[in-house]
Amino acid sequence: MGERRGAGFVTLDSGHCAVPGQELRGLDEQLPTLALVGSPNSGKTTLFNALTGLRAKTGNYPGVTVTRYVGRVAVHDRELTLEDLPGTYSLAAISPDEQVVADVLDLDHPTLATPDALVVTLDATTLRRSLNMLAQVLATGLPVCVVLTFTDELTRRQGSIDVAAFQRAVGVPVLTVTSGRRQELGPLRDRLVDWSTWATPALPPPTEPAEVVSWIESVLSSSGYVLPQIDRRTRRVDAVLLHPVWGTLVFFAAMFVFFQIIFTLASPVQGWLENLFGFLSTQVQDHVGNRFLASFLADGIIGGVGGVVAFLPQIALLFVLISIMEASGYMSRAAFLMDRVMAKAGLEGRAFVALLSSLACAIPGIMATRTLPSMRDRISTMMGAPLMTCSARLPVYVLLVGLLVSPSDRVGPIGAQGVIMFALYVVGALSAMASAWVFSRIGRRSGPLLPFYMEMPPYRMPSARSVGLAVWDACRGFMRKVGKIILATTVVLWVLLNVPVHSNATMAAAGVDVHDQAAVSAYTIDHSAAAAVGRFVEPVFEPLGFDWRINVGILASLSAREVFVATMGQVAAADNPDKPAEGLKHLTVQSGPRAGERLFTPAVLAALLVFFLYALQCASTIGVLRRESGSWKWPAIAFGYMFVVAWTMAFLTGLVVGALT
Amino acid sequence: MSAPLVPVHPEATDAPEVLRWVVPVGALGFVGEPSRVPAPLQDLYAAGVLAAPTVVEPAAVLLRIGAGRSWRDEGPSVRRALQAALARPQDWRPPADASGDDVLRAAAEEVLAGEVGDFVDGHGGVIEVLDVADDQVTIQLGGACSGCPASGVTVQSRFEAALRRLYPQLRGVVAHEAPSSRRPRLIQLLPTRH
Repeated sequence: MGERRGAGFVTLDSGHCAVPGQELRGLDEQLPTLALVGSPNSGKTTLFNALTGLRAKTGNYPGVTVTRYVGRVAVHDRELTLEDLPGTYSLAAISPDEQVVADVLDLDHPTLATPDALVVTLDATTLRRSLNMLAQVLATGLPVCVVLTFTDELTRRQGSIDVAAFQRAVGVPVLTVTSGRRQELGPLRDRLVDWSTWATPALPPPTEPAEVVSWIESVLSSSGYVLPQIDRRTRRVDAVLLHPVWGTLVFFAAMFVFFQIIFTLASPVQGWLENLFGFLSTQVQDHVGNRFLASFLADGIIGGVGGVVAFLPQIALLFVLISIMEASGYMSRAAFLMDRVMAKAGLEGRAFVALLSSLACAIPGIMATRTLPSMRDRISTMMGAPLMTCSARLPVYVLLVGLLVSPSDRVGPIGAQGVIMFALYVVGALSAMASAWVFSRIGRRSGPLLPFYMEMPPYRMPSARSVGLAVWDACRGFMRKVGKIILATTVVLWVLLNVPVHSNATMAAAGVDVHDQAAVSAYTIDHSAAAAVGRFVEPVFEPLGFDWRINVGILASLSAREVFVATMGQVAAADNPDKPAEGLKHLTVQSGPRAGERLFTPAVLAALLVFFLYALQCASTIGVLRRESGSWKWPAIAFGYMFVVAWTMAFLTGLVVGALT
Repeated sequence: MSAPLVPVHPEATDAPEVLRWVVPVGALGFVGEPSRVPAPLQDLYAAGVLAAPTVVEPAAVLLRIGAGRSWRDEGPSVRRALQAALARPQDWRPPADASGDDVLRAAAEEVLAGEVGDFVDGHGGVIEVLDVADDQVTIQLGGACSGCPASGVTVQSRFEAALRRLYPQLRGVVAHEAPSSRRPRLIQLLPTRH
């Protein structure tokens, strides 16, 4: 691989330990503001977390959606504000993240305040590339302090640098900070508060490209910089992992193990959580006197939210694995391997990372597209990303696949459920690629083709701390979603499913045994407001074999896919409160030509699965698409095309499966 | 495309009006105040942008900004002129009294004035340049150096390595121990006759 190449990527917005909701309030405007500038993987965020003690606040830069991280550093009795700017390789912006850095450092920018001073993190192992950015930063004329990172790795890989000579050459203070050596932070903190006394270069570096090259050459040679050898471990491992044949095999094996781990490790924990919520639900029903309140708490809140929270173990594991892949350096290899495959879809290797992240959730996936320099690639990837099987589809798939085939069914030696699941993942991925291909075709003429750069970082041991932070962030994000969107939707649904309230007399007149709890619930739901809505949209979904109950579930799941599970749970609980899953199995069609037959026939289940595979049922994704693309146009297009594809594919699948069974 | 520019970068000196422009080792092949500089630089002297003296070191050119001018304003044009001048080493004229050993002597002195000298000082040693001839330096180790078993390592790994960076064609370093250094210091102060 020779010289490592430029521009890398950040996939998940991980590593930051900030509370997203906590806006940038409470930060003292009077405090001096220092900003951290550095390339991705230069240890910038690690340094930020170490200096601010994980008490960062986040917000957005005005007008764009790049997250802004701000924290406070206290040194003795003095304080200052530290801002972590997005990772960038250059101030000549080509991606939105880089544009933010360029704008913040632009003294004349109309809305963004320029920091008082800058701390530039430079990875000592890739110094030549980083100096380009340092030259640009020094040209701003702001006070600058350089923090050299990974000097320990430089030494280990037989490279070297004379830090004192380097400091003389660049003309600004230079400190070394190695991760894991907290005692080095003391001098850095002291240096930070003295920002007003930092030496400034007598003459800023040149800006004309050829002169910059000459400046970098001269600085490196006078600092006795010896380029590190490519890590022997890295080289040996890469010989296998980047091999066209072995590397691809290892990649698919890794992916297989990846999903095996997610499903096998998480399922027992998921079982415990389900039992816990089942127990809670029973307790509520036994001990809450008021019938409505008990139903509200047990079916609405515990049933709805609990059904979704049960998927927390899967999501946590998914993020553990993704962040380990990322921190260890394997993610870039995977992207590199996939570059050729992605090229078939008209995209570059980095788009793979966005799609892979979308397996967790389309939101980090869509945000990861920021690392793509071309807007055309970004849009194409964004249009495909929501088709990747995200963790929100998992509960739905698990429920529906469970109804479709029993756990004991086998295809050869492998469980049939697992095979269908895997097929759903594969079809999702292929559809995402196909969609990206179509959109990249459409937008072909707009925007120049940009070169594909990707950094192959040396393999590094992922730190438990950064993996933990990424998982914690993801789980908290999921729980917030559960707490807000899903809770609200379930409550609204419960209300819709339970109003209007019918008097015992009306029910008796309709021939319902008012003492039979199940019969009462069934009657209430059948005559509820939700049923009316579900029946209203029936013509749309009738060809797919969906009845009003499924329609209610689908409409509700427009807010978040998991809500479908909760809704079906509520509907089925009316028929069979003890075992909602059993209840679903035996639901029958109430009217029309199929009246009395089982509702969930294989054809309907297959159609539903396919519908969920394609439909964009996620308010958060629509919101993020709007933010990242800058208008309602793209979310509208995405929602529209995905609905049409979902309906059509579901219809066809229903026909095929119906004919086969 | 034209040939790549000669790598240079400026470093501050104790005098704010003087910048030490670090240039590739051996770019000019002489040290001291040149008796003539190439046209691009000469023009800047004529215009008052730069002021005498210009001093060439083994790996640097010291330039002084003219009265009433500032490096911030004139820096870019000086950089361009210097790079153009360095691309034409044949147009530079060494000082009139230059001799072939000057560069090595200056390099050795620069090493001793820098971090290697500080290291030796810090250990109570003294290194003196006795003679420079035919790309070979003869030095004298005094103070704590004489008789010190580590002095050989210091000379080799520090002095010689640093000197070679400034003067790659160095043939070798010959180190003599100061004969008088083991005598009491008081006696050293008295004039001695052999």
